[in-house]
Order: sequence, then C-alpha cells, then structure tokens
Amino acid sequence: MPADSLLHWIEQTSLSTTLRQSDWAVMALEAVHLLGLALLGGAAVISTLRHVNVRTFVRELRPVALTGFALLVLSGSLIALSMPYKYYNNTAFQWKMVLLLCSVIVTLRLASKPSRILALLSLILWLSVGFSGRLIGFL
Amino acid sequence: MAWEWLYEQPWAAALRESENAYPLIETAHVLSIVVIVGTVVAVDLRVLGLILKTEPVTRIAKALLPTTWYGFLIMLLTGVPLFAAQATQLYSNPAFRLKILLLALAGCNALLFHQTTYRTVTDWDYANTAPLSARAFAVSSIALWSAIIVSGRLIAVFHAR
Repeated sequence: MPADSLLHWIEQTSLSTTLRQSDWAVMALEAVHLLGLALLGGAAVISTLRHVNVRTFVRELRPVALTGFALLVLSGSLIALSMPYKYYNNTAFQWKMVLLLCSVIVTLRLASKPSRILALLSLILWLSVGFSGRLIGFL
Repeated sequence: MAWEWLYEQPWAAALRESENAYPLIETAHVLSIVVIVGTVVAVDLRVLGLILKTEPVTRIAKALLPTTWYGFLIMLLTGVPLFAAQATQLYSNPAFRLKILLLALAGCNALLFHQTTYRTVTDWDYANTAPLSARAFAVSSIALWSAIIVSGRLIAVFHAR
C-alpha cells in the first residue's frame, strides 16, 4: 500500500517524533485547536442568528473565521502528524476529513453568495466536523 | 460537603458509570462554550473597533448577547452533571479550580463593564474606537475566555494523574 510508506515516513520525521514523545505538545495543540473552534464555530453560529444581516456579518466575521480556521488547520495537522497511523486508520477521522471538505465548499459558497440557508447548512456541517472530531478519541 | 453529597446522588453515579452519556454531555458542553465565547468575542472585537465598524455597538450587543445567555444556560445544564459525576476528583483538580476562578472573573468583568462604561454607550455607539476603559474590558474578556478554554482542556490532563 503506497499510503503505508508515506505514513511510515511521516512517523520517522523529527517533527513527528518530537511531538509524539513530548509530555505536553499534543495537549497544548489540542488547547489551540479548541480556541480555533471557538472562533470559527462562533462565527458560524452568529451568521445564522435572527436580527443579524447575513451579508454584513459574513463579510465582517471573515477575519475571525479565517483566524479560527488557520489555528484549527495548523494545530490539527501537527496533532495528526504526531501519530499518523492512529489518525489515518480512525473511522471518525476519515469522516471528519470528508465533512471538513464539504464544510469548506459550502462556506466558500456562503462567502461569495451570503444567504441564511447556506449559513445554516454551513453551521450544521461545521457541527458535524466538530462532533466527528470529538468521536476520534472514542474509537 | 456539598460536592460529596452531589457525588453520591444516584443520577451522578449513573452518569459516572455510563458509557455514552458522559462523552455526549461533554460534547454539548464544549459546543455551549463555543457559542458563549464566539458571541462574546464578536462583541469584544466590535468594541475594539476591529470588526463590524459600520454597525452601532448596541445593535451588535442586542443581536448577539441573548444567544450568549442560551449558551450559558446549556453550559450550566451540562457542566453541573459533569461536575457531579466526578465531584470528589474535580474539587481538588488545580485546572478545574483555575477554570472556576477564571469564570468568576469573566463574570465580574462583564458585570463591571455593563454597570460602568456601557452606561455611556450612547456617546460612543457609532464610534470606530470605544473609550479606553471599554477597550480594556474587551481585551480582558477575550483573555479570560481564552484562558477558560485552555484550563478546561487542562482538567483532563490533571484528571489522568
């Protein structure tokens, strides 16, 4: 399996080894991951609220959502790199990646054509990404 | 002690021994914090003049803060059972103690802001930059809520030891 040699290579890198062997690195990255979730998730929640102009809020909350997304991707990638086999073989993680792709597509669409329906769909998809992320630890 | 009484309640014991209920409630707890912090930080960023500059501060506060309270309600409804199920261990967990302290500070910070600076909001409702005192409250709010999230994550680290 070609993926196996890639996973093996990742696991051998000094970055992966350092993160895996550290007592606190992955825990600290998970805290950053939660901070990113609060920013991106908060922006997704706000865009669906009543008494909120979707167009204005989607535009104005973009830097907040992008900051959250950047924190999530950065911390999430490092966490995944620390234990590549564990995450690659985890069903919840596989689902999370598929849902993440769907969320990004819908959210990009929302950014270009803001509407309440897209905001709701985007929120539901991000919630499902968060939920499948939570499940990773239980599988 | 009150936490020992909580710990011994049959529903707390049932939650402690359940396989699925605990992680599910924990997930709802995390989501409630996302709602609280997301809405609070958006109001703070508006006060700091970083986002939504064309909208008056009061409009943003009125649109978002009711949702903050819903989030707060869910946080309590999920947080209290989560605490009760593990009360004796959590009571002595330094990260949990820090989180409760920070939560109290965040509450005082919000209360003080609304009782002092926010009373003059009509003077700076449309202003790009709010008075220094309002911006100070906004910065401490963001710092406190970030620290609450981090200390919440740390609870599990101390719990395992």
